[in-house]
Amino acid sequence: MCFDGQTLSAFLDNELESSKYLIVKEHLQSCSDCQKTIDLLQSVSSQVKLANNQVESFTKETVWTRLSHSTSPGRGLDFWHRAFIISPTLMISLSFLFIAILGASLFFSIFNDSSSFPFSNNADLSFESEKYPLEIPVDNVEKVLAYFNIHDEPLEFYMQLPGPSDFVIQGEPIFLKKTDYVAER
Amino acid sequence: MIKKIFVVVSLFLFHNLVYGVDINDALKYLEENSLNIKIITRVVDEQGLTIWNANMSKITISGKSVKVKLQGVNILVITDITPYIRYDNTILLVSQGEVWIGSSESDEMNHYSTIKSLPVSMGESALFFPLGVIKAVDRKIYNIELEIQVNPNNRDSGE
Repeated sequence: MCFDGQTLSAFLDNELESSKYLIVKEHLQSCSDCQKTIDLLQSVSSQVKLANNQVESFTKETVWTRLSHSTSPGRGLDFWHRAFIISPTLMISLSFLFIAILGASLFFSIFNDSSSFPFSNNADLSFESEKYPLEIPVDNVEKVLAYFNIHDEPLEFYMQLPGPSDFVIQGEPIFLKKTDYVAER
Repeated sequence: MIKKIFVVVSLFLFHNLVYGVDINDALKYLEENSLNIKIITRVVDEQGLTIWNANMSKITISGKSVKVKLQGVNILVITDITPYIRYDNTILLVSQGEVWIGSSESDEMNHYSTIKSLPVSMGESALFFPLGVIKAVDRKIYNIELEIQVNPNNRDSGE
Protein backbone atom coordinates (compact mmCIF):
# COMPACT_ATOMS: atom_id res chain seq x y z
CA MET A 1 0.00 0.00 0.00
CA CYS A 2 1.55 3.26 -1.20
CA PHE A 3 1.17 6.51 0.64
CA ASP A 4 -0.04 9.77 -0.90
CA GLY A 5 2.16 12.75 -1.58
CA GLN A 6 0.96 14.65 1.46
CA THR A 7 1.92 11.80 3.80
CA LEU A 8 5.30 11.44 2.15
CA SER A 9 5.88 15.19 2.36
CA ALA A 10 4.96 15.12 6.07
CA PHE A 11 7.37 12.17 6.47
CA LEU A 12 10.11 14.21 4.85
CA ASP A 13 9.40 17.14 7.15
CA ASN A 14 9.26 14.87 10.29
CA GLU A 15 5.69 15.83 10.94
CA LEU A 16 4.24 12.31 11.27
CA GLU A 17 3.50 10.54 14.50
CA SER A 18 6.24 8.19 15.55
CA SER A 19 4.22 5.02 14.87
CA LYS A 20 3.16 6.14 11.43
CA TYR A 21 6.67 7.45 10.73
CA LEU A 22 8.03 3.92 11.32
CA ILE A 23 5.40 2.37 9.06
CA VAL A 24 6.22 4.78 6.19
CA LYS A 25 9.90 4.29 6.71
CA GLU A 26 9.52 0.52 6.52
CA HIS A 27 7.35 0.89 3.39
CA LEU A 28 9.93 3.05 1.64
CA GLN A 29 12.51 0.33 1.93
CA SER A 30 10.45 -1.89 -0.32
CA CYS A 31 8.52 0.54 -2.52
CA SER A 32 10.48 2.17 -5.33
CA ASP A 33 7.60 4.43 -6.41
CA CYS A 34 7.29 6.03 -3.00
CA GLN A 35 11.06 6.32 -2.84
CA LYS A 36 11.07 8.17 -6.15
CA THR A 37 8.40 10.47 -4.83
CA ILE A 38 10.46 11.11 -1.69
CA ASP A 39 13.55 11.82 -3.85
CA LEU A 40 11.61 14.27 -5.96
CA LEU A 41 10.29 16.04 -2.90
CA GLN A 42 13.80 16.26 -1.50
CA SER A 43 15.23 17.80 -4.69
CA VAL A 44 12.46 20.39 -4.82
CA SER A 45 13.03 21.23 -1.20
CA SER A 46 16.77 21.66 -1.73
CA GLN A 47 16.20 23.92 -4.81
CA VAL A 48 13.86 26.11 -2.80
CA LYS A 49 16.39 26.41 -0.01
CA LEU A 50 19.10 27.30 -2.51
CA ALA A 51 16.96 29.99 -4.08
CA ASN A 52 16.14 31.41 -0.71
CA ASN A 53 19.82 31.70 0.10
CA GLN A 54 20.54 33.57 -3.12
CA VAL A 55 17.89 36.24 -2.69
CA GLU A 56 19.43 39.43 -1.39
CA SER A 57 17.67 41.94 0.58
CA PHE A 58 17.27 44.91 -1.78
CA THR A 59 18.07 47.76 0.46
CA LYS A 60 18.61 51.29 -0.71
CA GLU A 61 22.37 50.89 -0.51
CA THR A 62 22.49 47.74 -2.61
CA VAL A 63 20.34 49.33 -5.32
CA TRP A 64 22.55 52.43 -5.49
CA THR A 65 25.68 50.30 -5.62
CA ARG A 66 24.33 48.30 -8.52
CA LEU A 67 23.36 51.45 -10.43
CA SER A 68 26.75 53.05 -9.95
CA HIS A 69 28.51 49.89 -11.12
CA SER A 70 26.34 49.65 -14.26
CA THR A 71 27.96 52.79 -15.74
CA SER A 72 31.58 52.01 -16.49
CA PRO A 73 33.98 54.94 -15.98
CA GLY A 74 35.42 54.98 -19.48
CA ARG A 75 32.17 55.16 -21.45
CA GLY A 76 30.70 58.57 -20.68
CA LEU A 77 27.67 60.21 -22.25
CA ASP A 78 27.70 61.85 -25.64
CA PHE A 79 27.41 65.62 -26.01
CA TRP A 80 23.67 65.78 -26.50
CA HIS A 81 22.89 63.65 -23.42
CA ARG A 82 25.06 65.39 -20.92
CA ALA A 83 23.59 67.69 -18.40
CA PHE A 84 24.00 71.29 -19.54
CA ILE A 85 23.03 73.88 -17.05
CA ILE A 86 22.78 77.55 -18.00
CA SER A 87 22.35 79.88 -15.13
CA PRO A 88 19.51 82.40 -15.41
CA THR A 89 22.01 85.28 -15.42
CA LEU A 90 23.91 83.80 -18.37
CA MET A 91 20.67 83.13 -20.20
CA ILE A 92 19.50 86.71 -19.76
CA SER A 93 22.90 88.07 -20.90
CA LEU A 94 22.88 85.93 -24.02
CA SER A 95 19.35 87.00 -24.84
CA PHE A 96 20.26 90.70 -24.63
CA LEU A 97 23.36 90.12 -26.75
CA PHE A 98 21.31 88.34 -29.39
CA ILE A 99 18.73 91.14 -29.50
CA ALA A 100 21.46 93.77 -29.75
CA ILE A 101 23.21 92.06 -32.65
CA LEU A 102 19.94 91.44 -34.46
CA GLY A 103 18.90 95.06 -34.03
CA ALA A 104 22.25 96.36 -35.26
CA SER A 105 22.05 94.15 -38.35
CA LEU A 106 18.55 95.38 -39.15
CA PHE A 107 19.57 99.00 -38.54
CA PHE A 108 22.51 98.86 -40.92
CA SER A 109 20.63 96.95 -43.59
CA ILE A 110 17.82 99.50 -43.65
CA PHE A 111 19.91 102.64 -43.61
CA ASN A 112 22.76 101.50 -45.79
CA ASP A 113 21.58 101.88 -49.38
CA SER A 114 24.11 99.79 -51.28
CA SER A 115 22.66 100.48 -54.69
CA SER A 116 24.03 103.99 -54.70
CA PHE A 117 27.09 103.32 -52.63
CA PRO A 118 29.89 105.34 -54.15
CA PHE A 119 33.51 104.61 -53.87
CA SER A 120 35.44 106.77 -51.52
CA ASN A 121 36.93 109.91 -52.97
CA ASN A 122 40.08 107.96 -53.52
CA ALA A 123 40.33 107.82 -57.29
CA ASP A 124 42.33 104.60 -57.19
CA LEU A 125 39.23 102.73 -56.14
CA SER A 126 37.04 103.85 -59.04
CA PHE A 127 36.63 101.95 -62.25
CA GLU A 128 36.21 104.36 -65.13
CA SER A 129 35.93 104.08 -68.81
CA GLU A 130 37.21 106.92 -70.92
CA LYS A 131 34.06 108.95 -70.65
CA TYR A 132 31.61 107.09 -68.45
CA PRO A 133 32.54 106.75 -64.77
CA LEU A 134 30.84 103.90 -62.99
CA GLU A 135 29.78 103.67 -59.37
CA ILE A 136 29.77 100.08 -58.34
CA PRO A 137 28.34 98.64 -55.11
CA VAL A 138 31.04 96.43 -53.72
CA ASP A 139 29.77 95.08 -50.45
CA ASN A 140 29.65 91.71 -52.08
CA VAL A 141 30.56 90.13 -55.37
CA GLU A 142 27.02 89.05 -56.22
CA LYS A 143 25.80 92.64 -56.05
CA VAL A 144 28.60 93.78 -58.29
CA LEU A 145 27.69 91.25 -60.96
CA ALA A 146 23.99 92.06 -60.58
CA TYR A 147 24.86 95.74 -61.03
CA PHE A 148 26.39 95.08 -64.40
CA ASN A 149 23.32 93.13 -65.44
CA ILE A 150 20.57 95.48 -64.36
CA HIS A 151 22.09 98.92 -64.32
CA ASP A 152 20.01 101.44 -66.17
CA GLU A 153 22.77 102.79 -68.33
CA PRO A 154 23.59 100.27 -71.06
CA LEU A 155 27.14 99.81 -72.19
CA GLU A 156 26.52 101.29 -75.59
CA PHE A 157 28.03 103.92 -77.72
CA TYR A 158 26.27 105.92 -80.38
CA MET A 159 28.00 107.39 -83.39
CA GLN A 160 26.66 109.47 -86.18
CA LEU A 161 28.16 108.44 -89.48
CA PRO A 162 29.26 111.15 -91.88
CA GLY A 163 26.74 111.70 -94.57
CA PRO A 164 25.49 111.59 -97.07
CA SER A 165 27.38 108.40 -97.72
CA ASP A 166 26.54 105.55 -99.96
CA PHE A 167 26.71 102.36 -98.02
CA VAL A 168 25.96 99.13 -99.79
CA ILE A 169 25.83 95.58 -98.54
CA GLN A 170 28.95 94.02 -99.99
CA GLY A 171 28.32 90.49 -98.92
CA GLU A 172 28.19 88.36 -95.85
CA PRO A 173 29.52 90.06 -92.68
CA ILE A 174 33.05 89.03 -91.86
CA PHE A 175 34.72 88.67 -88.48
CA LEU A 176 38.42 87.83 -88.50
CA LYS A 177 41.69 88.62 -86.83
CA LYS A 178 43.42 91.74 -88.05
CA THR A 179 46.59 89.82 -88.80
CA ASP A 180 44.65 87.40 -91.00
CA TYR A 181 42.96 90.27 -92.87
CA VAL A 182 46.22 92.06 -93.51
CA ALA A 183 47.81 88.86 -94.76
CA GLU A 184 44.95 88.28 -97.19
CA ARG A 185 45.26 91.76 -98.59
CA MET B 1 16.82 70.76 -25.68
CA ILE B 2 18.31 73.95 -24.23
CA LYS B 3 21.69 72.87 -25.50
CA LYS B 4 20.42 72.45 -29.06
CA ILE B 5 18.77 75.84 -29.01
CA PHE B 6 21.97 77.39 -27.68
CA VAL B 7 24.04 75.88 -30.49
CA VAL B 8 21.61 77.05 -33.15
CA VAL B 9 21.50 80.57 -31.72
CA SER B 10 25.29 80.71 -31.56
CA LEU B 11 25.56 79.76 -35.22
CA PHE B 12 23.00 82.44 -36.10
CA LEU B 13 24.88 85.09 -34.13
CA PHE B 14 28.11 84.38 -35.93
CA HIS B 15 26.48 83.95 -39.34
CA ASN B 16 28.08 87.05 -40.83
CA LEU B 17 31.52 86.07 -39.68
CA VAL B 18 31.17 82.66 -41.31
CA TYR B 19 29.54 83.70 -44.60
CA GLY B 20 30.50 87.36 -45.00
CA VAL B 21 32.36 88.57 -48.07
CA ASP B 22 35.27 90.91 -47.64
CA ILE B 23 34.99 94.13 -49.64
CA ASN B 24 38.63 93.87 -50.56
CA ASP B 25 37.96 90.44 -52.05
CA ALA B 26 35.15 91.93 -54.16
CA LEU B 27 37.42 94.72 -55.37
CA LYS B 28 40.18 92.30 -56.13
CA TYR B 29 37.74 90.13 -58.08
CA LEU B 30 36.74 93.14 -60.17
CA GLU B 31 40.32 94.11 -60.72
CA GLU B 32 41.29 90.67 -61.91
CA ASN B 33 38.25 89.95 -64.06
CA SER B 34 37.19 93.23 -65.66
CA LEU B 35 38.04 93.86 -69.29
CA ASN B 36 38.67 96.95 -71.32
CA ILE B 37 37.16 96.80 -74.82
CA LYS B 38 38.56 99.27 -77.29
CA ILE B 39 36.57 99.74 -80.49
CA ILE B 40 37.75 101.79 -83.42
CA THR B 41 35.05 102.41 -85.98
CA ARG B 42 36.19 103.34 -89.45
CA VAL B 43 34.50 104.32 -92.66
CA VAL B 44 36.70 103.33 -95.56
CA ASP B 45 36.32 103.93 -99.25
CA GLU B 46 36.63 101.44 -102.05
CA GLN B 47 40.38 101.85 -102.04
CA GLY B 48 40.64 101.04 -98.38
CA LEU B 49 41.47 104.53 -97.28
CA THR B 50 40.03 105.63 -93.98
CA ILE B 51 37.91 108.70 -94.38
CA TRP B 52 36.41 108.76 -90.91
CA ASN B 53 37.06 107.04 -87.65
CA ALA B 54 35.94 107.17 -84.03
CA ASN B 55 37.45 105.58 -80.93
CA MET B 56 35.73 104.35 -77.87
CA SER B 57 36.58 102.16 -74.94
CA LYS B 58 34.37 100.57 -72.38
CA ILE B 59 35.00 98.56 -69.24
CA THR B 60 33.02 95.42 -68.89
CA ILE B 61 33.22 91.91 -67.54
CA SER B 62 33.11 88.51 -69.15
CA GLY B 63 29.65 87.94 -70.62
CA LYS B 64 28.57 91.56 -70.55
CA SER B 65 28.12 93.04 -74.03
CA VAL B 66 29.12 96.40 -75.39
CA LYS B 67 26.80 97.86 -78.00
CA VAL B 68 27.83 100.16 -80.82
CA LYS B 69 25.17 102.02 -82.79
CA LEU B 70 26.15 103.63 -86.03
CA GLN B 71 23.57 105.77 -87.74
CA GLY B 72 23.88 107.23 -91.20
CA VAL B 73 21.52 108.79 -93.68
CA ASN B 74 20.30 105.51 -95.08
CA ILE B 75 21.85 103.05 -92.72
CA LEU B 76 21.71 101.91 -89.14
CA VAL B 77 24.21 99.40 -87.82
CA ILE B 78 23.92 97.95 -84.34
CA THR B 79 26.76 95.75 -83.21
CA ASP B 80 26.79 93.86 -79.91
CA ILE B 81 30.22 92.67 -78.87
CA THR B 82 30.45 90.25 -75.97
CA PRO B 83 33.77 89.04 -74.60
CA TYR B 84 34.03 85.76 -72.77
CA ILE B 85 37.14 84.81 -70.83
CA ARG B 86 38.11 81.24 -71.57
CA TYR B 87 39.84 78.74 -69.33
CA ASP B 88 43.23 79.46 -70.93
CA ASN B 89 42.82 83.23 -70.43
CA THR B 90 42.09 83.86 -74.09
CA ILE B 91 38.98 85.70 -75.16
CA LEU B 92 36.06 84.45 -77.18
CA LEU B 93 34.56 87.43 -78.93
CA VAL B 94 30.97 87.10 -80.01
CA SER B 95 29.78 89.75 -82.39
CA GLN B 96 26.14 90.18 -83.25
CA GLY B 97 25.42 92.63 -86.02
CA GLU B 98 22.17 94.05 -87.30
CA VAL B 99 21.96 96.28 -90.33
CA TRP B 100 19.01 98.32 -91.53
CA ILE B 101 19.86 99.74 -94.90
CA GLY B 102 17.72 101.75 -97.21
CA SER B 103 17.95 102.24 -100.90
CA SER B 104 18.58 105.71 -102.25
CA GLU B 105 16.36 104.99 -105.26
CA SER B 106 13.32 103.68 -103.39
CA ASP B 107 11.73 103.68 -99.98
CA GLU B 108 12.72 100.06 -99.46
CA MET B 109 14.41 99.17 -96.20
CA ASN B 110 16.29 95.93 -95.79
CA HIS B 111 17.30 94.24 -92.60
CA TYR B 112 20.24 91.90 -92.14
CA SER B 113 21.51 90.19 -89.05
CA THR B 114 24.43 88.00 -88.26
CA ILE B 115 26.27 86.50 -85.33
CA LYS B 116 29.92 85.58 -85.45
CA SER B 117 32.41 84.37 -82.90
CA LEU B 118 36.16 84.51 -82.90
CA PRO B 119 38.75 83.37 -80.36
CA VAL B 120 41.48 85.93 -79.81
CA SER B 121 44.25 86.51 -77.34
CA MET B 122 44.34 89.40 -74.91
CA GLY B 123 45.36 92.51 -76.81
CA GLU B 124 44.92 90.94 -80.22
CA SER B 125 42.85 92.98 -82.68
CA ALA B 126 39.88 91.63 -84.55
CA LEU B 127 38.01 93.22 -87.45
CA PHE B 128 34.28 93.10 -87.97
CA PHE B 129 32.75 94.12 -91.27
CA PRO B 130 28.99 94.34 -90.77
CA LEU B 131 28.45 95.14 -94.47
CA GLY B 132 30.99 92.66 -95.75
CA VAL B 133 34.26 93.47 -97.51
CA ILE B 134 34.46 95.72 -100.57
CA LYS B 135 35.43 93.85 -103.69
CA ALA B 136 36.80 95.60 -106.72
CA VAL B 137 34.28 98.19 -107.82
CA ASP B 138 34.32 101.00 -110.24
CA ARG B 139 32.26 103.46 -108.29
CA LYS B 140 32.60 105.30 -105.09
CA ILE B 141 31.18 103.38 -102.17
CA TYR B 142 31.96 103.22 -98.53
CA ASN B 143 32.30 100.47 -96.05
CA ILE B 144 32.24 100.20 -92.30
CA GLU B 145 34.78 98.30 -90.28
CA LEU B 146 35.14 97.90 -86.54
CA GLU B 147 38.45 97.07 -85.00
CA ILE B 148 37.99 95.42 -81.61
CA GLN B 149 40.65 94.90 -79.02
CA VAL B 150 40.17 93.40 -75.56
CA ASN B 151 42.62 93.93 -72.76
CA PRO B 152 42.54 93.23 -69.08
CA ASN B 153 41.48 96.35 -67.27
CA ASN B 154 44.78 97.38 -65.77
CA ARG B 155 45.00 100.97 -64.70
CA ASP B 156 48.78 100.81 -64.88
CA SER B 157 48.77 100.02 -68.58
CA GLY B 158 47.41 103.37 -69.66
CA GLU B 159 46.22 104.14 -73.20
